[in-house]
Amino acid sequence: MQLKIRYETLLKRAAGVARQSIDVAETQDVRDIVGELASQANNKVRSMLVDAAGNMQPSLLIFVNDCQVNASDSCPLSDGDEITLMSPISGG
Amino acid sequence: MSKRIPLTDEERAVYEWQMWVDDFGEAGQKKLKGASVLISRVGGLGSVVAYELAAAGIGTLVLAHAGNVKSSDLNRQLLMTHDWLGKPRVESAERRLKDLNPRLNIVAVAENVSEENAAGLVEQVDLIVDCAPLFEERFAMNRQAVLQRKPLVECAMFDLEASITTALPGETPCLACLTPEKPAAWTREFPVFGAVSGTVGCIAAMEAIKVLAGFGEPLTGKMLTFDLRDMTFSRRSITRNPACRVCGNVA
Repeated sequence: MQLKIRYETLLKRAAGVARQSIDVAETQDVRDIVGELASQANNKVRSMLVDAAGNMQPSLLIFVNDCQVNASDSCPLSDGDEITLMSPISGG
Repeated sequence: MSKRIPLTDEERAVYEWQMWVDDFGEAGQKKLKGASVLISRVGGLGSVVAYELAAAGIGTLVLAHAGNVKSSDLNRQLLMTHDWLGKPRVESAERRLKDLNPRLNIVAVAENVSEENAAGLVEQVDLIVDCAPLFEERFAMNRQAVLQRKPLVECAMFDLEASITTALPGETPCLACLTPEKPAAWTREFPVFGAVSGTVGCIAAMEAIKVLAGFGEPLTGKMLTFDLRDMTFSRRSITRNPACRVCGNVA
């Protein structure tokens, strides 16, 4: 299935793109997809997605379409879903 | 939530046009007059929150911000002026807000929010707007907001982007639900246009007004993000974390 990936805030700046599409197996969940994106990404993006051991960063905000999901949640994905990845910001 | 305090004839004249807003009216204006708000830092974002709340007739503002005005503040911190360079930021903020609304009560605290002072600051107010640039300050404020069951408008910006949500302890996600630890990528200095911090500051002020006066639909359980680079606005659902170390056991 094809998924739309949307980067926000520091992740967007580090990735150099706001959006991309990826083809994934139907059995993959959000955690798999973040791991796959991390494996293909530059060092900066990778460090915002996963830690040195490859575990998802606890502060990474993930939305599937308009709903937030936790990395531990079982969140079924469908063809055409948009996954938004956001690194929290604190500018005042 | 806030006390209703009768309006004077002068106040009725000043606030007449906003009292025409459906569901707000004179009852809402009285609630604003009886309300107090803490703003954690009155920089690019907090300056605009304070200015809009002062203009709208909030009763009391508690402003927490350390340090003196610097040249690099002046592109966005609208309560700071060239003639106040080198002098305390909260004093600059206080005089500018008093120029706008001489009826406003201001408690100016020349300190940033910390673990040491957060409890005492939160005790003084009905609602908090968090505009601090450091996650450590935000975490201290969030903990006290949850402990004291005070609503907290959590707003932030970066570059041309911003995010905002309104947290009601025990009902909606708190900051620690969303951001359990400081993101390693965040740095103290960040790219900022005043028009971006000002945009999210205006939205934050409106969130505070809605919660205090009890009308409209605040961003409770929702996060609004936007990017002024391409004018994309997204409003998404957010969820409490049952294992949250701050609010996980708060019902």
